[in-house]
Amino acid sequence: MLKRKFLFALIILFFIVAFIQCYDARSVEDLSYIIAIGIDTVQSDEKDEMSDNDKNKVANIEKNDNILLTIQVATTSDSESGGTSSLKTTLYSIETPSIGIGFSILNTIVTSELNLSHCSSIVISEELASKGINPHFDNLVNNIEIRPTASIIISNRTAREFLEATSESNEISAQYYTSVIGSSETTGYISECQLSDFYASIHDNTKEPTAIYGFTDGKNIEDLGLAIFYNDKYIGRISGVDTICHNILTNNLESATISLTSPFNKDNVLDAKISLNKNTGISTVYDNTSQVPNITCKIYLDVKILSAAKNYNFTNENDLIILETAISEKVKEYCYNYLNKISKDYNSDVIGFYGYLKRNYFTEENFKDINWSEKFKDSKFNITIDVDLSSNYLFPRM
Amino acid sequence: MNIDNKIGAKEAILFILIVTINKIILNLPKSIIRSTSTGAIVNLILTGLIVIFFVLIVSCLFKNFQNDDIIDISEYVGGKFLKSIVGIIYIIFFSTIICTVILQFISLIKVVYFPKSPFVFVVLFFVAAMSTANYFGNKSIIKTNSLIVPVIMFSLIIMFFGITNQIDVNRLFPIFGKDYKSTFVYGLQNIYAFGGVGYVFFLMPFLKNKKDFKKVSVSAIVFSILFLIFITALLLLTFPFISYSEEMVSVYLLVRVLEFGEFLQRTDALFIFLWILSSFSYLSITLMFVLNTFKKVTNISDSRQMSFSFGCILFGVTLFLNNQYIIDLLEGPIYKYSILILIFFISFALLLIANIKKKLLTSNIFKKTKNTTIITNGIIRQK
Repeated sequence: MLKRKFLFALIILFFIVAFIQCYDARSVEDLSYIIAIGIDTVQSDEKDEMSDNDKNKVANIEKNDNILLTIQVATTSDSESGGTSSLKTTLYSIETPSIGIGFSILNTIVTSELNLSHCSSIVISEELASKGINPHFDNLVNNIEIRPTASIIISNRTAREFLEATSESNEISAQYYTSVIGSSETTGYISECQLSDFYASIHDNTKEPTAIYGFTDGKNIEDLGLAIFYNDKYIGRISGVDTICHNILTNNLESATISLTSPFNKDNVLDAKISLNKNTGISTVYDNTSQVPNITCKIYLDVKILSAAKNYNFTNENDLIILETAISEKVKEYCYNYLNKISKDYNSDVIGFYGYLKRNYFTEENFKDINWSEKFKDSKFNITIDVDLSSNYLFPRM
Repeated sequence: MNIDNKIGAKEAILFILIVTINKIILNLPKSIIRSTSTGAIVNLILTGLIVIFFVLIVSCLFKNFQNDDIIDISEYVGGKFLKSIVGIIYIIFFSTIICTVILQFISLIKVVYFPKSPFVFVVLFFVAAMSTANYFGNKSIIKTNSLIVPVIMFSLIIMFFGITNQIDVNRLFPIFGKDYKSTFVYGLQNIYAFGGVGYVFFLMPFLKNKKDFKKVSVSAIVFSILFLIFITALLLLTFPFISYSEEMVSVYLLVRVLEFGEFLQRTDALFIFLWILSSFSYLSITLMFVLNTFKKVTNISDSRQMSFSFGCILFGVTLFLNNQYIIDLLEGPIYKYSILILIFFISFALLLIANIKKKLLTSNIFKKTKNTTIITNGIIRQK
């Protein structure tokens, strides 16, 4: 009995010792937290002086080109009582052939070990994105520490300038980038683009990836519009209004404000707040005769009129119908412009219409002959909008 | 079998479910998706129905052997020689499963949480836990399993609510995958996904009420089918690259993207903790079967004393097999064809032969005694 108790105690002791991880424990003070990463091409003035012959070799050279890796590291923390904590950040940049080596070298520069657990944003310059970001991107996705919810931003200038604009001009919080992007919930001018979604879209043959497009003038940043990709290459951007249409068609619209000419008085402008009443219904059918995809979108909008002016009467049923028709036509116009842009100009199916086409077939064998990348640009769109004018806030009649 | 080690119906169902749950965590859905693409759901429904039918037949065949497992049945069919052969095959089979599960699980947790810890220590951790659990007896293992399995099941279900933002229903189409042949013909091999059926052949002696055998085995298989379909669907809906990617553990990718509102992110640590408990339970149960089989083959009185000995052997074998190519081989074709051949063919054939033999023997005895005896109202009278 005693022997059994002794053995039992020994086993418990073994497990206690096994659970102790002191020898490789790392506390918060031992780590430097990266809150944003920037990736740029390395600027080379010599490229402008190259002859045409040499420029043909650029494609091969570019594969061996280094990138400029910039990290924004949180340095000090000043907690304010009852409020959010703000902190100062420091930027470190290094020219490197790959992100993995870049982090290794930066670890020798930064005092503590770099940690990606709080990285909320990955900024990529437009120049680098147009060459293709896959080789660098896979490195990030494979990292255990990085959050799949980190946002992807394409910057109009270099990523370093973008991070400098946030770092030097403002005292930012750890949630800065999340807050800026979170404004999309009320404006609809940007759409959330996370690392996991972006990676999935690169490898998804039904949908092309998108990223947030960010502007910087060196002092401030502004996120507006979407960057459109084809596979892993950036091909163009769409405006804020087009992004509202994108959000409507992908069921990501919380609310957005649009303006239209009043149908009652051409000199007045009406502001309307739109949101989705129901999920947008999409169907894609491939017409074998004309060899063209026919895409139908049924949109259900809930509208609230923000404007209040003289001689308005939103309680009159006929006026309401006229207003609903005007709003419907306006939104339809925006949507057609957006869809023509992504199909005819960019030939990038960022909505995922191909996925809706697949629903009509039982096996991959049945539709493998439809070359969607070729056919998408010839698509015919048919949009119907169901507007429900539900409210006009404080003044229904003046 | 000691009366204290008998288990009720619910415990027995959870007993078999832990097998499927661990296989789900260790990339079983990914293997199915790799072979059938988006047709995995339909394929699982089809193979699940076949397995249910198989289990119903097995439970009917076990009615004549109410206190026996497959080892006892093999002795009935072919004597001690066949019993030894089948016993040794099953010991090797279960031991391989133990080594494979340890290696697969360690490959995940070493990358994520123990990158600097020596491999030997992590293996020792698993081996010591399962050997100790077996030393303290079957009852403790079964009771602990009954606590852990519902928690794991709940955690798998709750994943759905954290992933709704990532789901795209279009990724399930086309519904029959690449083509009809790969889903309905070649896909029938995926019957190996229900390897828990193998443990059904050992279940009978454990049950308190033998009449529960059919209910237990069918219920366990139905739950297994439902969970497998659920997780496979989640993987297909969330990751478009899942059909052709080569990730370490697919379900870990799922838990990485879980979000419960703004404040609960990166809950993967909690899930890994639960999976570690689940793997301890599964390994302990599998070692329990190894020891029971060894006890029957060698006629020793108490197999618990052998738990640390077997632990040491498995520890050594696991260290020896630490090679990614070997892990893929064991997890893939070796496991698949072992299940198909050993469980669905050999064990079923043994059971069938045993039933035929018993029927023939009973009818022969009846014929022999027909001329000399009359059975009237249960009283045998000499003619």
